[in-house]
Amino acid sequence: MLSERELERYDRQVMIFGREGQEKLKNSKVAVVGVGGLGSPVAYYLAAAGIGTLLLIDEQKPELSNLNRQILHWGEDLGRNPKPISAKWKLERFNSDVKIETFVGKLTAENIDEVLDGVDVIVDCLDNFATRFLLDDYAHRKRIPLVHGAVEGTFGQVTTVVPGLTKSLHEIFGVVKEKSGKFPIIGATAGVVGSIQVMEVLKLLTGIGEPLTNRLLIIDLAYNTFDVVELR
Amino acid sequence: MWFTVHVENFENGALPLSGFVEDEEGAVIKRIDGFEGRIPANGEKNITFSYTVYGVGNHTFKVFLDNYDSKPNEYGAKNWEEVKVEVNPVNGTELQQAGFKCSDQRGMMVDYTPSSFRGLIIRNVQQPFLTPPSNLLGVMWMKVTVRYFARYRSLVGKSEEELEVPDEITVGGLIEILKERHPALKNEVFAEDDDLADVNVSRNGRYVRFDEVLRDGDVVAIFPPVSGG
Repeated sequence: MLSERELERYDRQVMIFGREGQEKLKNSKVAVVGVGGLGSPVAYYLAAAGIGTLLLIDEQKPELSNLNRQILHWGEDLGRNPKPISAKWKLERFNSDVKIETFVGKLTAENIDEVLDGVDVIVDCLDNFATRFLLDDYAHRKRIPLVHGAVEGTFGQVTTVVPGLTKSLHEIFGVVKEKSGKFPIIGATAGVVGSIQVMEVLKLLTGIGEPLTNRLLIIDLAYNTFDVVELR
Repeated sequence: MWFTVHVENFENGALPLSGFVEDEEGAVIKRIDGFEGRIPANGEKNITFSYTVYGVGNHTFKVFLDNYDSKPNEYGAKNWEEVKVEVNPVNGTELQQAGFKCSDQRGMMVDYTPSSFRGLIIRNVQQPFLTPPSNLLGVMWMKVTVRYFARYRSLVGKSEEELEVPDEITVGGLIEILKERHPALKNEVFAEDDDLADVNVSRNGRYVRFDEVLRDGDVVAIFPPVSGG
């Protein structure tokens, strides 16, 4: 049941989701895999929306060059708190009605079942396709939706994988050549793509609108282009 | 189908060439010499000819070229290059010839392996399309619009362009043309041994594979998957 405080807090979006939809958000557990450029806005807006439990996964500590985009990490966190812990501290103060769980470590084929147990939706905020494909396999084994997002420079892409209904990330992206080393990125690009990923999660959980299932959104903020490609 | 032998001369004098293209049985299907084989100083040339390829399966053609100096060329003295042509049936049906027409038509896959020679580069660039028997039907052309996304847009310098390409070309064939047309794509996006795996393509808003055959008026978009987070 939603408390009086929660009903007031979420008043403007209950106008869209209804009380029932807001209850669904409260009863959901969402995993944010990667708490960096995408994971920061994703975790922030999911907490704002009143997701009951957030599971934050990352193995790194924030570095100075992360801070142009990873807005959940501050100067005081540099080299000290691992990203999930750094984010948890802020999100708990931001919305104490949201339970924040953390896993500090790298997802592997061995630990993924244990770490992601009980999750309703996975949000892919990773920076490499190797771990993405691991998430993809898990999502298909457990039949859990996976919201994929990726960014580079002023570009971004989002698609929502629903096992049994859509293509898998393997099928969509095939063999992606990993670019090693640092890539250019503007914080606001991650902000836009992360916000779209959060909308996907909210649509999946409440049933409003149409998620990007079997569709790939490709954006280029340098030219303000938003294109949706049918993946069927 | 049409073959194009592309030759480049990096010397300050004109280069005479002598050579030929032979089919898998060693029969010479094209001679290259005389005026046609002459490349101007610091110039390049496309020597184009058509030849009908019959039969479902793989066909290998070799081009032999020499610049009359009788000396070994660079890279292991190799002075020939080959191209493989695969003729495929569509929907499992064999090509059946009826008069001058075929019951089915379809693009082909090609190997694309540039190689270097002393003083010149010979690349057996082939127009990667097949309308058997094209020399009887005549080559048809069609227009497609190519849209470039993300990094490709920056490299090409524009968001889209309309191109005239051979009828019935495949997505893979179009990519080959784009690589020729925009060296930046070739150098920075498609590496030498790239099998196109890192390129995503849509045709009229739908995600497609590289063997998809294009039609007149199609809008083809190419985009690179990004991976940062």
